[in-house]
Amino acid sequence: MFTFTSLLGAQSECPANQSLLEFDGGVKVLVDVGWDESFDVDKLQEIDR
Amino acid sequence: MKKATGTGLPSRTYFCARQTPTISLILLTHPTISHLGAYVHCCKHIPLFDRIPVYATTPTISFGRTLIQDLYASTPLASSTLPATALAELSPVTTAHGASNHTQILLPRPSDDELAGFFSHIHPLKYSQEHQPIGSSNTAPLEGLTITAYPAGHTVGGTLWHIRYGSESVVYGVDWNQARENVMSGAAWLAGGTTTGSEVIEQLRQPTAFICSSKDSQKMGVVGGWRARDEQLFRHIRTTIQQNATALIPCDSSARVLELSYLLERAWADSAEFKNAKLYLASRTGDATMKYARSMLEWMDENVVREFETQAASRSAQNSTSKGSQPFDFKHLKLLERKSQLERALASSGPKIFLASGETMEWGFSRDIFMRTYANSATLIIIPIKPKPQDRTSQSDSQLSVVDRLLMRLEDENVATQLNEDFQWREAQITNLGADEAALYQQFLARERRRLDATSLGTGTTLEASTDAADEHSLSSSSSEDSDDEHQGRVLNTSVAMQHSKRKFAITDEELGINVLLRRKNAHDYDVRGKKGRERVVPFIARRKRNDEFGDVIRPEEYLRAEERDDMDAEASPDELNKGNTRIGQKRRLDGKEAGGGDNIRSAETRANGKRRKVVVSHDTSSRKVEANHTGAGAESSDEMESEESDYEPAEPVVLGPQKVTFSTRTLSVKAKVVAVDFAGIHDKRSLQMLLPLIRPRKLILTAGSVLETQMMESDCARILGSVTNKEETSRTTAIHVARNNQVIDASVDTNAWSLRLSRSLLSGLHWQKYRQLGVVTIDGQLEETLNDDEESKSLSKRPKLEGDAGRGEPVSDLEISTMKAMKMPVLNALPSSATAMTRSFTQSNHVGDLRLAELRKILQDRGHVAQFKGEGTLLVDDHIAVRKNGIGKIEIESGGGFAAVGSFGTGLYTVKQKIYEGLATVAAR
Repeated sequence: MFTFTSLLGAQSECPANQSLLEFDGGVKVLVDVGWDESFDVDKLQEIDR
Repeated sequence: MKKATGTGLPSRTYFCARQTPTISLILLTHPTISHLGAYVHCCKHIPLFDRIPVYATTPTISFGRTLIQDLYASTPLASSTLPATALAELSPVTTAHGASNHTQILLPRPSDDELAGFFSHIHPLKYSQEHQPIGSSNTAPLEGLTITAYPAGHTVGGTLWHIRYGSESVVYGVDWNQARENVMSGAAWLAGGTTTGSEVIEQLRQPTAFICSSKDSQKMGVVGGWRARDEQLFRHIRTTIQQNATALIPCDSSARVLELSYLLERAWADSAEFKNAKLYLASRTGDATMKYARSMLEWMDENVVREFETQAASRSAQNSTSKGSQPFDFKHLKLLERKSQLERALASSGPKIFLASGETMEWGFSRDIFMRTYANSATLIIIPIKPKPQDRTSQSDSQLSVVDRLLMRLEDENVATQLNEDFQWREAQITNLGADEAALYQQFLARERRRLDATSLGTGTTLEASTDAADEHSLSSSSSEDSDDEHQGRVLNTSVAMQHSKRKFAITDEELGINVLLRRKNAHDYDVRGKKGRERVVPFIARRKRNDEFGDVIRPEEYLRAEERDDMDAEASPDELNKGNTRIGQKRRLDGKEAGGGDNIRSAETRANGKRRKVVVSHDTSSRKVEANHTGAGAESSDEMESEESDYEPAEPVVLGPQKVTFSTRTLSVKAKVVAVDFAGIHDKRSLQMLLPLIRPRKLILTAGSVLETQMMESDCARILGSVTNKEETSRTTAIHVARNNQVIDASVDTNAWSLRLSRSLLSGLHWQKYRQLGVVTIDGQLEETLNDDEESKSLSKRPKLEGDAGRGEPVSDLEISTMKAMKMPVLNALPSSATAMTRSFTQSNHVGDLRLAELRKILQDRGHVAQFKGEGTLLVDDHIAVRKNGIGKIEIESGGGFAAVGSFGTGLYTVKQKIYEGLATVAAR
């Protein structure tokens, strides 16, 4: 099992990148913890969730 | 998941993570803000985030560190502000003023030590080195997960990640660059780095899922490649020099700046025409970045390495101070790290070229230089990225960065655009909080601490226990206790500090034991009669001197001249100093991590003490553990993990209190010229279209790009990949998914896979065959519903994977698929013997697995056969048997006939066949 979820950056003007890759057995890999220059904490909500 | 919107969110917690505890590991790709800009913020403000193991290539770590140091030193806005809704929750009164007028209170900024610690915490990896991470104890086990980094181009250390887990083979490539440049070599797709037709390297070929960025996917590369691009840049610089003016190139702090600085230095060294112009690199961490660059040449393009070697050779041969310079050892480019140096450079006469950090010009020296030169019509701003092909007039200026605004005004591709207009310019002022605001801030901190405690208690005793263990470590200089990976590089950040403080309250003297001598102020005696072990020994904290690859780390604060120190003290208002002192004890630690305030890289603590506190917690075991784990990964980073433990330091750390930022706008009458040259270094349309059919992923996921770019790339890919006409592969087209934020895409390779429980009786009769990390077996069974949960059945986490030979996803067994959904967790039981006779399944024997020819060669050679690779993908055994793999993975054996002795003819073929079968798993019929 493998699912991909983009947290930031997909189809967006915002250049930041954050992606979540999830595998079998609850293995979750967070790839890149990007930000943009607004330094807006709201953008980090998904990791924060 | 919630959408990341800025306003109107219901009441929720912010820094108390619910998602974070379930993240098993973090991978970082490029040392840029868009890839790791939030890493330090999350480590500091999201509890448990820093416990998650992080992996990146060594240059990503080092350059990431200098980037973030530059960022936090340059702008207080990087610390980010309390979200409006958090303020609203705390005090409904503030909402009366309206959401847009809420006070922008800055969050505490990470100290330099914290920052360094967060980066030291990252496990370094080398390219092409497979690594099997060990997870932390409170997340899912990671057995069988393999991660490998491959060069991605674009930045030094840039990574294509390959993740293998079970039968999933995922490649993640965002912001990669196929083409090589001066400094960065191209992405690792093609063997031998050639750009002409060949095969993608086996490790990255045909992944089950390929996550690819769509940024710049519509861009056509410069005709003439990167040399033409370099020449464009030189042309603009020449014009500026002729006009005796200033050129400003805003770039990032540690990524693309390497390419730019390298080629500019070489231009200055090679041609005389640039010599009378001054070349500068203005970046607060420029020196550190270039130091790292000099030590990381092997991560760059081989030409750079070659240049280094020839220089070294000629120097030793001539034994003189040679004329040539080492890569990144600048003779013409001057590094400017401080405002005063920048001022002096700006004041000097003659043509000047500035490479300056702060690529958006929203912060950093690039902004400062712009502020000084915008009114001069001869000033040229060379922006090293191309504007996107999109209509951006819908966005108002206030939402765009300075660079974006300038790009929008470009009229021509190659000729500079002369500006003559008024810019709305937003400036930030940092001020201290008023009494009300300070109270609000304290409330916020208290609430976050409560939530943090709730989280740490919620995650169970393991957390408490592990913190205890770490505590013990930190208090003794030698400890042989086992520590998990999560203790590696434990930095004393907000969350841990708060935990300490919380316990400091709760712990009685008895619980402290002998550490009362350290912790309590007036405790000088401790009765050791009847105590054992550590309780009998005087607690001692070893001081750890911080050092890196170049020896002891020099802290510039210690070497301040008296007048400079006075200057700094003068800046700090007395109010701020007092504020720090009046806090109650435990909060001091939290605020002690604050190093707020404008442009100063030196933290506030140094102002009072004059020298940085040196007492550091000894992390003996943890750092040793890291070394042990990294013998495979070859850790280059010798940074020790340390933290400041203000617990043990009686000296009072002075803090600037919390601050807020207010904005004001004014108008700038900009007269300068703007031009853009594409130095972004990201894959363009042609390389994408050339490579994607060669990579041939099963599933392609498009992310990281604007809406327009992604949509256009999707249609391009559908065209290229949908009609793959390899002879045997017309059935295998690539499925293309377009990612959207917060939308889950299922890209599993197993389209036909189910979870079952196997009954114990069935299990005992199985004969497993081993293939790599999987076990393969044929099962004939009878599907039953689970009656009760405590049945004797043993549930396996691996699904029985029954695969055909030709392609994956074709189950061989005769299970009733349709009834699956109706059952909860069906149990597969052994067939009763009466039924066996009747339901004999007529399945064919199948061979499962993928045998690599290289492995087969090794096996045969071990047996004494002669096996060599001849031509493309053909293995020649004993000179007369050819083994080949055809397109769909079938292995073909041909025998050339009778050169060898008669007896060995048949046996040779047989032996090879046998070895092949042994390398695969046979799914046999019963």
